[in-house]
Amino acid sequence: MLSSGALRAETKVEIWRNKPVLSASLREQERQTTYSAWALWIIPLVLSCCSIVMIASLTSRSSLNEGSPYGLASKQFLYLGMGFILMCCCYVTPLFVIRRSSWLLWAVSVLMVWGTLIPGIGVRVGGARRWLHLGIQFQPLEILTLAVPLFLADRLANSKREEFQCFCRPSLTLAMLSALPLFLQPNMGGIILVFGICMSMHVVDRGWKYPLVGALFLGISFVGMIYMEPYRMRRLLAFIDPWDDPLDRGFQIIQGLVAFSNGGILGVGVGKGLQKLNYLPAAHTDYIFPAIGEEFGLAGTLFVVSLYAIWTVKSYLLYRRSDDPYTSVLIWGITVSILLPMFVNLGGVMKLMPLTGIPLPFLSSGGTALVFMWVKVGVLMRIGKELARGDASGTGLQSWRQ
Amino acid sequence: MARKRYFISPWLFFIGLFGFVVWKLVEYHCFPDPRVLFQAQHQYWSRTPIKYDRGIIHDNNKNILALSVPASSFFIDPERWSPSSASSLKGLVSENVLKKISGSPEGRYVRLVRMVPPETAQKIRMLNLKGLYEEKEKKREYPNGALLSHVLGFCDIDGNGQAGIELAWDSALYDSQGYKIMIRQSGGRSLVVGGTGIYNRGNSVAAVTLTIDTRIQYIVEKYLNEVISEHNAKWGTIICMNPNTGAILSMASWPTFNPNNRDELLNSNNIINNAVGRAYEPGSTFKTVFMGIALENGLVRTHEVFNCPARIQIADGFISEAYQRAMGNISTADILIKSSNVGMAQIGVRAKPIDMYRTLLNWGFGKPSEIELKGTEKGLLVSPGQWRGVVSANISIGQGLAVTPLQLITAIAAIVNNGKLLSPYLVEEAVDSTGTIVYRGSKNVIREVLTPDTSQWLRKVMRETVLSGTGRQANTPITEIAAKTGTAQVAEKGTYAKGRYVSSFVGFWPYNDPQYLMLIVVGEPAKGKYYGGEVAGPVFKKIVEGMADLEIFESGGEELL
Repeated sequence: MLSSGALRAETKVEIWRNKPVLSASLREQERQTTYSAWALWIIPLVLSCCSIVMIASLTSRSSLNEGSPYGLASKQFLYLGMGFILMCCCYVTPLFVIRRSSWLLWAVSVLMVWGTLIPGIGVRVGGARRWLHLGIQFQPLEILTLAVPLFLADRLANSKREEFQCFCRPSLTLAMLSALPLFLQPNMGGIILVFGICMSMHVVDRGWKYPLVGALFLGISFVGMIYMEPYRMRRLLAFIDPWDDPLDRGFQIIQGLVAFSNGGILGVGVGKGLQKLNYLPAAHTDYIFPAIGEEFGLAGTLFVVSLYAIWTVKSYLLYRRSDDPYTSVLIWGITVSILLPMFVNLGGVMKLMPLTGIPLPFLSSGGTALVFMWVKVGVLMRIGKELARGDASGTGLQSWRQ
Repeated sequence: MARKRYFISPWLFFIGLFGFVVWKLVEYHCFPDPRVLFQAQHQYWSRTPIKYDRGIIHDNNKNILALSVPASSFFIDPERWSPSSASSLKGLVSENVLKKISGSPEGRYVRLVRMVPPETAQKIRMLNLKGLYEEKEKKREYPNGALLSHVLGFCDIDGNGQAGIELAWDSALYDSQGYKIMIRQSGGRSLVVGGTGIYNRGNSVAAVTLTIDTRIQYIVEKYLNEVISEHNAKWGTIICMNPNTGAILSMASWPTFNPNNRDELLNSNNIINNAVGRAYEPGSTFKTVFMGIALENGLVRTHEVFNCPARIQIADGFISEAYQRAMGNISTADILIKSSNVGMAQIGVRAKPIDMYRTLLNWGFGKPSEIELKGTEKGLLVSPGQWRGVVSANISIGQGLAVTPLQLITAIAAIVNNGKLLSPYLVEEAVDSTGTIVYRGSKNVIREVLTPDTSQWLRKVMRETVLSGTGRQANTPITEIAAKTGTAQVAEKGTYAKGRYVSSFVGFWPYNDPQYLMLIVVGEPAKGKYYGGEVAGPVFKKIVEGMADLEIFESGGEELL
C-alpha cells in the first residue's frame, strides 16, 4: 500500500519527465531539419590555429635560445594533430562504449590526480603539485574534466534516487571524490571546475534547488575562511585593487590590463606587442588572451569571444535535439567543461575574479589541455552523429542495459 | 522527454556571461583606467645618457671652480683572471681588494680601484694582466680645493650632485649631450631597436656661472680662518654682497672641507654652510633693522631723547647694558651708535606684537631665503601670541629670535640701498649642453621696506658708529666704512649661557656710494674677547684693506689721509 505522499511524488516525477514545453509539432520540425555539426569542430580548429600564430609571435624570442624561433609553436602544432586524431577516434566510437568505460576513465584520472601528490612522479611547479611525470609530463586535471561529465552523466541517468538523496549521491559524492586530491595539490581553479561541472549537470538534470543551497553554503564558508585568515583578505584586496601593490601581487593583473589598453581597437599588429617582453608573465599560456588583445585589439578579442559564443550556440542546438536524459546531460556537461575554464581564465585576466591559473581552451599553449579539449569535441561530434541517425534517443541507455 | 525545459535553463547564463565579457572588453580596450594608461606609457622606454660630461662651474670672471676630468678605473673579470698575478698589483690597490683577488672571486666583475690618478693608471696598464680591464670615467675636480667648498658642494663618485650648487643645479650640470632610446624589458634588460637609437642634442658643455668673485672669496676665507684660530671660535661665516643687486660676491663658512678629499665629506659638521644653514641670535646688528622698522612705523622719532640707566625692568625681565654702565640721556641715533640695549628696549616695548611680527616676515625673517641653494634654514620667529612681557624688548636688541646670516645681510642690504628688499642670488647664468641659457640671475626686488629718508638716516648712523661708536676698530683711511656691531649671547636650555657669545659685524663701503656689504659672524670666540667690535671689527678692516690691495675697488686712501 502506498502512502498518498509517495503517490504524489511519483506522479510528479511522471509529469516532470514527460512534460514538453514546445508543442510536439515544433519539436518534430526541429528534428527534421538536418543538423550540421561542422561548426562544432571548425571553430575549435580556427581557435587552435590562432593559438599557434599567437604562440609563434609571443615566444619567438625565448624559443630562439633553444634553436628555432618556432619551437613552441611547432610543438603546439603537433599536439593539435594528436588532438585531431583523438577527436576522430572518438567520433567513430559508439556512444555506449564511451558510456560503459566512463567509470574506468574517471577512476584512472582520479588516481592520476592523486599521483601528482606522490613525490617522484608528481612534479612541483611553483608551490603546487599539478603535474604528473610518467614518461611524458602532463596535467591529469585535464583528463579529469573530461571523465567527470562522462561519468556523472551516466550516474545521473541511472540514478533512481530523488531530490536531496540524488543530490548527495551521485552528484555531491562524485564532486567531492574528484576534488579531494585537488584540495591537496592545491588547485583552487581545478576545484571550481570540478564543482562547477558537477553542480551544473545536476541543475540540468534535476533542478536548481539543492545545487543553489549548496553554492550558498559554500559561499558563506568561503567568506568565513577569508575573514579568518588576514592573508586571504589581502589577496582578495589585491585582486579588487591591484594598484595597492603594483609591483608584486598586482603586477600580473595590471600588465594584463595594460595589454588590452595597448591594443586599442585594431591592435599593434602581430609580433609587435611589447607586453611579451617579460611584462606579461605566462603570455603564451594563461595570459594569451590579453596578448591577443594587445596584438589584435578589440577586433581580435571580440573575434575570439564570438567564436566561443557561436560554438556555444551550436552546442545548444545539439542539446535541443536530444530528448534523452543521458545525452542531454552529457552535452551540457561537456559544454560546461569547455566553457567554464574559458570564463574562469577570462575572468582572471580581465580582473573579474581572482586569478587561478586555468588555461584558455584551444588557445593557451599546453599539450594535455589541447588534446583533451579535442577529445571533448570528439564526444560531442559522436553524440551529434547518433542524434542525426535518429537512433540516439535512448540508444546508449538501452544498448547498455541489454 | 524534454524534462530539461521545466525550469530556468542554465544555458541562459551564458548569454549574460558573454555579454559581460564583451562589455568589459570594450571598456578595457577603448576606455582604460588612467593608471593603466600611465603604466603603459612609462614602462617600455628608457633614455640612457651616453655622452656625459658634467658641466663646469665658473666664478664671475670665468675662472673654473669645478670641472670633470677623465679618470681611469680598473676591474677584473674573475673568469679570465688568474689569482697568481695578484701579487704584481701590490701597492696599487687596497689590501682588502688584494686579498679578494688573490683567492678565487666570484662573478664577472670585481672592482680594483676607482678613479686613480693618471700615473697609477699608467702603472696598472703597463702590467698588461689577463682579465684586467680599464674603465674610462669622469672625476669631479675642484682646482681651488677648499675654496668656496660650501657653496660649490660636492658630488658622489658617480657624479651626481650631493650638496651646494652641485646639488641645486644638478639638472643643468648633469645634462647629457646625447642619449640612447631603448626598449626596456621587464626584469632590467634593455634592447636597442630601430637603427642606432642614438640621439644627439648638443655639443657644448653645460656651465653654471656664479656671482662669486674668487679674489674676494680668497681674501675672505683667509681672514675668516685667521680670526677663527685667533679667537679659538667654534664657527664662523662671512658673506659679501652687492647691496644694490643682491648678488653674492663671496660666501665663506668655517669649519670647512676640501671636496677633492672624499674622506672629509663624512664629517657632516664641516659640510654645513653656516651662511645659510645655521640660525643664530643676531644681537645688536639686528637693532639697525628694528630701528628702521620703528622709524618707518612711527614708533620713534629721530630727535627723541631716551634716559638710559644701566638696567631697566620690563614686565617680567630685565634688560641691561653690555658694559653695565648707565648712558644717561642719549638721542635716538646714539642708541645705535653706542649700541644701547636699554634705549633700544624702550623702543621695543612700543611695538605691537602682531604688526611687528608681520613686518619682520616681510623683511624675510622666519622663512628660507630665496637663493639657489638647498639646505637654507628659515630661522626662528616666535609667533606674536608668545610676545609677552620682555619678549618685544628682547627682539628689539636681537635676542629671542634666530636668523641666518644670509637673512640678516639681505635685510641690511635693504637699509643700504634705499629700502629695497632684494632676493640674494648666487648664479649669474646657467647654460645647458645645447648651449641654451636656461637661467639668468638678476636683481629682484621683493618689496620696498623702507623709505629712502629712513634708509639714509640709518646709513648715516652706521657711519657714525664706525667713526665714534662701537665700530671704531674697523675704521680705515682707505675708504669710508659704515657699520654696526653685534654681540649676542647664546641661549642654552632656555637661559643665556655665561661666556658664550656670537660676535658679529655688518658694514658697507664706500659710504657715499655703497658697493659692498659684508657680514662677519664669529661664533663663540673663546679667548676672552667677545664684543663684535673687538673680534669681528678688525677682520672687517683687514678684508677691506686686502680687497683694496688687490685693486678690486678703487681706494681713495690718499685723499682721506
